[in-house]
Amino acid sequence: MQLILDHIHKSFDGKQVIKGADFTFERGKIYGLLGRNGAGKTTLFNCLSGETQMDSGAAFIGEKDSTRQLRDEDIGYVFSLPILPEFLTGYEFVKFYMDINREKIDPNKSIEDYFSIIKFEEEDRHRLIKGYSHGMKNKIQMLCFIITRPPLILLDEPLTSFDVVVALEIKKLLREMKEDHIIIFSTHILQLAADLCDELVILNHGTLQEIPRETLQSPEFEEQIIALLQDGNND
Amino acid sequence: MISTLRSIQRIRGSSGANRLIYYFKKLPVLGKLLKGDIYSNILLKQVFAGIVVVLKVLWGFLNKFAYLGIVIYLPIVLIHKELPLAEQYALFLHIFIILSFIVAAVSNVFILEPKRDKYICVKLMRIPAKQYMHATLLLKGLTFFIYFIPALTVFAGIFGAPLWHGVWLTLLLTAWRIVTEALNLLFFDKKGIVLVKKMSWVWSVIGLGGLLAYLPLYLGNAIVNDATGFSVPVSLVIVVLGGITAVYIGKYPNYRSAVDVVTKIDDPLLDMNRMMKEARVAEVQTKEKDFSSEELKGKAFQGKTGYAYLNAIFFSRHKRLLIQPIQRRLTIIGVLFIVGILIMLISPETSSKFTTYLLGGLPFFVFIMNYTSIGERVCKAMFYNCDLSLLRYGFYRDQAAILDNFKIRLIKLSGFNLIPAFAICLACTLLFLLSGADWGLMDAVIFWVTILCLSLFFSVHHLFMYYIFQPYSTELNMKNPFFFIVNSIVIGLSVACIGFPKASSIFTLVVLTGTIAYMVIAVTLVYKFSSRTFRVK
Repeated sequence: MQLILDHIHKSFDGKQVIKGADFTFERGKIYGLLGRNGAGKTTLFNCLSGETQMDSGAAFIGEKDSTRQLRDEDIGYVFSLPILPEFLTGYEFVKFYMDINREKIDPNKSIEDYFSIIKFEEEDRHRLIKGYSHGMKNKIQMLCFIITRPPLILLDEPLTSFDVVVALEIKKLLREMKEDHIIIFSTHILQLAADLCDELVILNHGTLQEIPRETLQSPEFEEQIIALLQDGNND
Repeated sequence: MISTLRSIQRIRGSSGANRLIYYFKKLPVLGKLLKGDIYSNILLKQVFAGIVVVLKVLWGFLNKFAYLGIVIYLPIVLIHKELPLAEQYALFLHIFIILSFIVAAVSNVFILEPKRDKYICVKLMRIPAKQYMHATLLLKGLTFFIYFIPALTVFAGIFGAPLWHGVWLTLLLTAWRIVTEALNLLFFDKKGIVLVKKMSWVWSVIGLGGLLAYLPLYLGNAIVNDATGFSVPVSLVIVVLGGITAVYIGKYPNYRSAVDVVTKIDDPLLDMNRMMKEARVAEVQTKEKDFSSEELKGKAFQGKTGYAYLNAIFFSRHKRLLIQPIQRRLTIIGVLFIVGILIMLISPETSSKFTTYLLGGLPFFVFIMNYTSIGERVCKAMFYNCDLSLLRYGFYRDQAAILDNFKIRLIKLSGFNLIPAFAICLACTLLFLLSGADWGLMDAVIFWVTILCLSLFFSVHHLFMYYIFQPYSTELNMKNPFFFIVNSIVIGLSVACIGFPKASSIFTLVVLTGTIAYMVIAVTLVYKFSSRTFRVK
């Protein structure tokens, strides 16, 4: 399975943010989407998830012998600022989410099983989401794609809000899941990207650019990336 | 000082111009003329800054005319037109002196006023506090004086007083306000207390002052008159005090702390927009402490699944927002019913006139039922507490999901709205029956069908508007112009209904078909378009 981006354009108020992004992402890999602040990482994710309409271009899911348009339900999206209905408790939200996606989920797992996968404390499950910390909200969002297992998982700056222990848990989880998914992970923290991701993609000048695998291991890795990114400064 | 003043004006000019451009860009058609890069176009921005200055000066003069005209002149001529001009003038002076010399001196201080401008210039732009205060004080004093002169002379002229009265009164007021500014500053210096931030003090003075100011309107003669206002010794004392305190203000050494104390970044008085936004949000928010942990375990909702489950919890957690307005409406209906009964007992004649009017006035209920509906409030709460977050998930924007949700909500909302509708039907029926008016079974049916239909109509209307136009932004201010237009048309139609001349039965038929047609159209439109229109914008 592949995710194919075909010449995606998006501009706001006359300013071009994404200028013809082309790329093919493969299943079984974690991609790090690297870009400077304001490079358009979130915009690109929003275009893919249907949150904002792209001006032109398209995204497709390619199977062995067929290609089809990317659909809303193909995507699990974890926002950098977790957005959840605050009048529900964590438990109620997950139950609602499971009800809605009844046909997509593993019938052998119960709601309690899911909470223990993300190591969510028993007493926190029945509190209003309104009182949750940033990290707890993020965990609930992650749980959404663990439950429905959509082919494409977009994570917008996810690990920055976790403490070291939780970050490690989530990293493990992502590595375990990657076989069946395309995982794209946006960040501007270079070490995190290099550490977790199999491939690095740079969003610069509104286009996507792959970093060769050799670079990842080379000692000049940091300098090369910085040089690439600084290039974008002369816009 | 001049250069400080110039830089302050430049900062104010730029931010004023930016604000003007920002709002200009929001205008429906004209706004499109300005491109995104307009903020960097120096020349055009200078033009905008110039416009802002002209508008500000105009506003400065007009504002004084508006104050004197609306707050003081108008009540006097409305209530005491018959009094001779001199007595009217005495009333004018009385109200003016209490409001401007006493109330405004407490509620409207300048040196210790929390203000964004201060924060920007002193905290962000690092203009020394003393220089900033000296420059702005000079400007404020001069403009205060200049803006007041024309308005006061004109109004003095209207009451037949000599024109120098206006100028003299302005001078006295300016001197007096220097004195009160100095007193506020002195109090802060000695006690460390900013009086204008003590809301209980400020509002007590406003309340009491207002009472004292307008009391003579009721009594018919002024307590303060021109003899006290213009006597030479009083005037002299005020002017001399003004001079002395001006020196104190000029030499005051601690402006830095006087500015610091009113420019805390979290001070709500600094940012009216934020205050209003927070108020709007608080109106529809849930509070965690409203629920016990048992309630949060949610045993009550266990039988439900999916959207029914979601909505059951939503409506249960927002009871306060839903029950309160219903209770208020029921109270109003109850009070009106009792008043109706009392009128019937005291004066049967008025009562029968009234009943005849009500019987023929069925169209008037279109208007009433619009305001009886709690639809708009519920939609706001649904948007802010539920849809704003869930709409970011693809599954929630799915057409089937939207329709499922819409159906559940429509039933719930209609149910809520039917409660006051029933109460209205019941109260009116009882009144009609007790009044002994000629009101048969057929009339009763017509009445009930109309009211209940109207209730349904507005339930559908509000929810339909929400799903198709989704007018709210994250701050809960509306920003979809079509929402206003369609809403105005519906309100206009309901006003037009008042003039409906035909017999009740025909009107009921119109309402009935209208409601059914509207429901069919609304549901069809929601079915067709809501997956595109029901979004966070």
